[in-house]
Amino acid sequence: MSVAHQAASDAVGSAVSALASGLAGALRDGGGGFSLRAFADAAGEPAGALGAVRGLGADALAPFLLAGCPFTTADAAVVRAAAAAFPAPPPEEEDGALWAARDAALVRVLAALGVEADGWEGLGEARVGSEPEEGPGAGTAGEWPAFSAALAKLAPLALPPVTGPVRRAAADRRLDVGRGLVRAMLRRDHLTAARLARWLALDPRPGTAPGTVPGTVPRAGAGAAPESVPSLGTVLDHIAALASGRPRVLFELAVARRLLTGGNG
Amino acid sequence: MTIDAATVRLAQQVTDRALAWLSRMRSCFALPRGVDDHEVRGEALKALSELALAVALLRRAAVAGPDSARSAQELLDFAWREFREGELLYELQCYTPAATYPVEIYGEFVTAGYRHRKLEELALHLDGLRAARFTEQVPNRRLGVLAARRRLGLPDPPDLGEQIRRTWLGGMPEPWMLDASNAYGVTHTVFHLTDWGADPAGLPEELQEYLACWLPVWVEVFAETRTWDLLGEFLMVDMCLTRPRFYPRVWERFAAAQRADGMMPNGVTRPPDDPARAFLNHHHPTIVAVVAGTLTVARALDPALHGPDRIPA
Repeated sequence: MSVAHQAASDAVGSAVSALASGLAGALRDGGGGFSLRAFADAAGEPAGALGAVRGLGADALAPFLLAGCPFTTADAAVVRAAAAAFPAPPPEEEDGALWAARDAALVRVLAALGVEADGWEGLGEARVGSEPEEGPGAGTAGEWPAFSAALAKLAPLALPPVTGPVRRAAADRRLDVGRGLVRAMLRRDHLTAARLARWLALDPRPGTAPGTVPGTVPRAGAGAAPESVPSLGTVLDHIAALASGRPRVLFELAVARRLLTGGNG
Repeated sequence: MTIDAATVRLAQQVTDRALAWLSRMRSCFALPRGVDDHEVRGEALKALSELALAVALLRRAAVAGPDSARSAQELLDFAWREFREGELLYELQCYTPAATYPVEIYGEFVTAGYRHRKLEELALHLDGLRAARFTEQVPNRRLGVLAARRRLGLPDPPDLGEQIRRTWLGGMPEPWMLDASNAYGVTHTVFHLTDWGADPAGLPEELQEYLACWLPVWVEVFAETRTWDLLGEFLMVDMCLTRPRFYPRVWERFAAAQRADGMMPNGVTRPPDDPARAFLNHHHPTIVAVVAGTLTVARALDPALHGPDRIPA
């Protein structure tokens, strides 16, 4: 992390919470009331607001993508300024691969919103049209504990326009994602649990009921009553009940709910 | 996946060391002298019966080396003598006819061939009473009572399936709702239904599938939180399934937690240096370590597991 990053980190921390709350509210309520420009203008600390937009990456665009909020050139300018103010670390640094993957997702979502971000200053190794790659440490291989932990860090990639190996791995290994979710719940790590629930909400397995938690559905003829089968909706309700007042968690839950109900509502 | 030979050696070593500690601590398992039978504390009966269970299972598995086999036999004889060859259990059953624990304890000895005729006659009589069908117990404990009846040759009741469904495990709840209390309920539901791994098919297939999904998570979490007592019980549960996984990396952590003297700490309270004081809170995980290791070695040698595709990757 650079000196500039460090100096801004306190302001960024509170701005991230404020932005996450705003995003979660916009996702919940839908409609047109949310704007990144307005968020940045309202912030007491401009660097903090830009840091929050940079830190949330593609997630900062979720209401425009999923809840019908209109995305304006002024909003795009805020994202661009944030990338320039907080450039991604070079690929060889720790987290370099993670940043590259998250910035590739950002570029993909911007493209889906009609904005060409090719050549923007500060983006990590991202190219329009490229798929977010699994890099060293991004870890879409390995056993379920490492896999699910890596996947949680890549939660901003869990958005409909973003395709690639990470998403394919998440779709192929739903039981492992579910195991990571349960482990996180037992560790009271509700943020990781919510992020993994979001991955499960992204690509329901064909032929199964949407929003099913893998591994919890008894086979036909098994003895469990239907009400004993936890749905992904139950998971989201449960996390929400335990994590009230935690904007980052509530944001992930709001994204997951939008994904479950089909997005553009 | 083949069964990892290193895991089996580790399991054997954990058992041998834990058993040696239990042998050295034998006097701590002795029941108090000069006390009326019905005034012996439940904790003392429980500890002694758990010791008896562990060594009876070790004897049943017949996979121990000569030293451990001899220690196990000596401990089993010791426990039987402490229960006055069943007479104490009989007296306790007479004193409190509605209690289920004397026969539950006795069942462990029956498996090992130790019998007490009067207690069995009394147990059969009590089992015929209407009261026996209406004992209020938590559902997994109820399965323990049924397991003890089975050892006396009594058939399962027709509503066994319903009784299984009343347990926490039988309800297949949201797996993140597991806590320490119902974790012990899960392990004992499995132990009682499979006769401690002798009959994996005794656990209904849907519960096998549920555990195939979530046991890996619970094992991981209890290893991370160093909850050795519960972790050992969950490693035992794995050995009771039709498709065990053996968890080689978890076994390494479990074995590393064992003290040099063979005691397995519970991972919750700090063991005092004095073994006699450590006994109070740490004899149970050490007993668990004996059984977990024993069942693991026995299962690794089970020919049924060595066909192609029997062990999941």
